[in-house]
Amino acid sequence: MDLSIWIVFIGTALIGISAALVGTFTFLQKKSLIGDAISHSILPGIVLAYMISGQRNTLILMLGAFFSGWLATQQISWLQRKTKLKSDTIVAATLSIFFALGLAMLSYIQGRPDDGQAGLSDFLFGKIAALNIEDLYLFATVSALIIAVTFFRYRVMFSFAFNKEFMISKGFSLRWNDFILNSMTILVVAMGVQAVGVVLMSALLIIPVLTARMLTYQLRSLITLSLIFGTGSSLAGSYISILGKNIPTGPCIIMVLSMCAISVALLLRVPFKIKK
Amino acid sequence: MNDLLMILTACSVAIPASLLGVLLVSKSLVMVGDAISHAVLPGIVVAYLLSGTKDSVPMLFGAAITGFLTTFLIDFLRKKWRIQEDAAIGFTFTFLFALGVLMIAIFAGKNSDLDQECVLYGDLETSILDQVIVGSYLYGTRAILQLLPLTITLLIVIIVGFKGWKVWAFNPQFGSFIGIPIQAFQLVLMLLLSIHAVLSFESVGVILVVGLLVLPAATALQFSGTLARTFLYSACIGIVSCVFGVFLGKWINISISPLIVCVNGLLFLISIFVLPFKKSIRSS
Repeated sequence: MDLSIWIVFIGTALIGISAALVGTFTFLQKKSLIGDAISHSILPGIVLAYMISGQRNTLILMLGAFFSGWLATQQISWLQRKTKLKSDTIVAATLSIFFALGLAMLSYIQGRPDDGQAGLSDFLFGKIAALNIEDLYLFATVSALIIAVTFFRYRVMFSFAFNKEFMISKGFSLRWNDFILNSMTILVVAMGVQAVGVVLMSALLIIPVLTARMLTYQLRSLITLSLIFGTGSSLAGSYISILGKNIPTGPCIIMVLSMCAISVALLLRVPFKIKK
Repeated sequence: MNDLLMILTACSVAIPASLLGVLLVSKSLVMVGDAISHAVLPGIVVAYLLSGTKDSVPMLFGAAITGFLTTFLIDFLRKKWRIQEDAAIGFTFTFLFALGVLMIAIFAGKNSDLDQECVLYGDLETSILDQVIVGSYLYGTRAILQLLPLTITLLIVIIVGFKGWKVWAFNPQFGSFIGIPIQAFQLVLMLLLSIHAVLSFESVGVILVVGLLVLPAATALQFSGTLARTFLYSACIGIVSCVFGVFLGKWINISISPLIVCVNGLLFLISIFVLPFKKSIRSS
């Protein structure tokens, strides 16, 4: 096996692990669509980072992504305080403003004479084959950070998901908790867009935990199962997309994930019918 | 002339979008609208593969079917699989969108005029080149002529069923109590939404449609009290941002459809900044 193929596999596995981990908590706190909003709204940050630095360095692009994702979450919470609009309207408005801004900037740099920006539109659909070994170190660091934060704040995040009022009355800060969860989501999304692209990144956060949720009600086995589903289908999806020549990685991973979810649901249906 | 055509095409997308958006926002169905505009993609691709052209009739059928499929699937996931709503929406549209992208990558091939980027971005500049000329008179672009019937239908549906829409949006329990078919209203809305998504994807792209849906309506809601006024203001904001977007795009020389959404977003943010002033005027 080639070194580049190993890089692809390890990269997707890291993305799958951290997405499933963060996705579990966003799912439990009913914030799945915030992940969708964040994944759309990191686009202007990526394009801006590219415009300033002039190169496709993963670290710089991730910093840009983190900045604009953070700005988007700030805008969402600002609008929630300032207006009476419902939260889905606010999320959709933020998402579309940031995404449109990103597309406008993208079309601006595509109109410029210097090329080399061709790789940038890969962010919309993801191209895992473009990863190199330095990116992998970065991914490993970010994943380690996410795993460490989840490990140490496991109890707090778990309790916030199920009994928010109790935690607030105990003196834990809701805003601090939201900030940590949002930052983790932004980091995962900034990492994952390179593999699955802007549009489908939210699926990687939602579908593993959704599949696991059908099988179990216990938090620990929920996390384990969603890690298994997330990692397994990221690996399988990227393998299929390497085998086929012209298949984009992101949709492939999502299709494998969805097939897992659908087959789990169908398998769960069967015994019920027999019981009746 | 080209500028005028461009503005007219943009408006023909934006006016029905901003009217539909008011209904979506007042019922908080915005993310369902977003899901539908993503999920019509497999419908478009299947219709394209079966018919071989980008002709509108098979595409409309494809869109209507996938639109219904999306709402049905979201409802099914919520009720049968007991999945919370946000996750059900997220699962449905990413699944259908991924299916569409994969079908484009595998079946549509290199030399077809249906590629990922045109579906995602949309291109107003090329969509106005598709002109309908009968005799020697220019009747308009294909997008205008396709979206005009939709706009008229939408206006008729809204005006005729205005009271029904009001009840549907704000008090559905009462509506079903006095015998208004609330479900039918919802289905009509989803049908119109998916037809709109299909007709406008060439000029705006599937992702930006949600901006055109939600932003004018959210802006209009900032300073209007009644549903009728919200419709009116929302359509006006849609038109204004199309005009500004087209001129801004000509001036900086970048892609126009994202710019229209940016102008919409700017108006939305301005309306929020202006809002406290209006309140203080009222109280004094």
